[in-house]
Amino acid sequence: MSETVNMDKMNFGFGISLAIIAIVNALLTLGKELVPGIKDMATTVGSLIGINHHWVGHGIIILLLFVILGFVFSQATISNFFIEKFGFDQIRLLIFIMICTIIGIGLIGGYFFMHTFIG
Amino acid sequence: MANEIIMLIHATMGSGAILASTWLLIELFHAKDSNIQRIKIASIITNVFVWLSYILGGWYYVYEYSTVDKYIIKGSTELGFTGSLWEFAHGFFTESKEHFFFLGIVIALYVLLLAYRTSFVTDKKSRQTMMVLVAILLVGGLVLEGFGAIMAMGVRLGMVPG
Repeated sequence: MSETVNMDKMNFGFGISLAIIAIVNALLTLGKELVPGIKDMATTVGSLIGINHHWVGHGIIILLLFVILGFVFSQATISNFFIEKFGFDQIRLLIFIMICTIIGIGLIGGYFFMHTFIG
Repeated sequence: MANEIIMLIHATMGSGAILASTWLLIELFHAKDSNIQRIKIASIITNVFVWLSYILGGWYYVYEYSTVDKYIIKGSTELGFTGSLWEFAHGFFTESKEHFFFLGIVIALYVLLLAYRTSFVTDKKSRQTMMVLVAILLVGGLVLEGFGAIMAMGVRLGMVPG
């Protein structure tokens, strides 16, 4: 068995989830700005805990998705598949998280920078 | 008055998160069997500060900023404000900060998981991963504190008579 397959499944699962969330967070942010229906959907999710605000709904979606994806990717069959297929080890996982985080931050920051300073 | 105090506690919790991240990073630099427990405690404390900052900041954002501060910065005929000289304080800094924050929360949670699920003393790669992520939390916290200061200045300049 290779070293990479011995990687802790929850470590892998939640690491992948974190990377995906970095992108989803950016897409949801841009979606709320550009598509009124997405902002309404986030507001509806927020209203589930009694607060009619899109940012609250956004937070609920992000946190729920992080937990759900984390457990899904922690399943042995799924994590082993990805670890073997893409040769993930801890450092490659970190690099993947970093790339997704930079893209996510870049999309959010870039959009609002353009929107505010360039028009 | 209550919302103003909540805002001050939010900023203080953010500073606490930065300090706790610094402590965690230093412990990780010197990770050995004797400080495993301290690293786990530092991870928990970092999460507590990040979460308190998130919840309190979120409260202020939803119940005060979104209904008053935003319109002081952007201008509102109803409220009698013509808009701040620093209108970008909302357009870029608030909008970015409120959405960057979510990443900080999930990174903090993942660091906590690594602290409890990996043998970071003997496993150098896990330790390096934790150190990089904690460094992101630390730098991100400082950046967001700066964003908060700019937002506050945006509100202040919005109340200066034109």
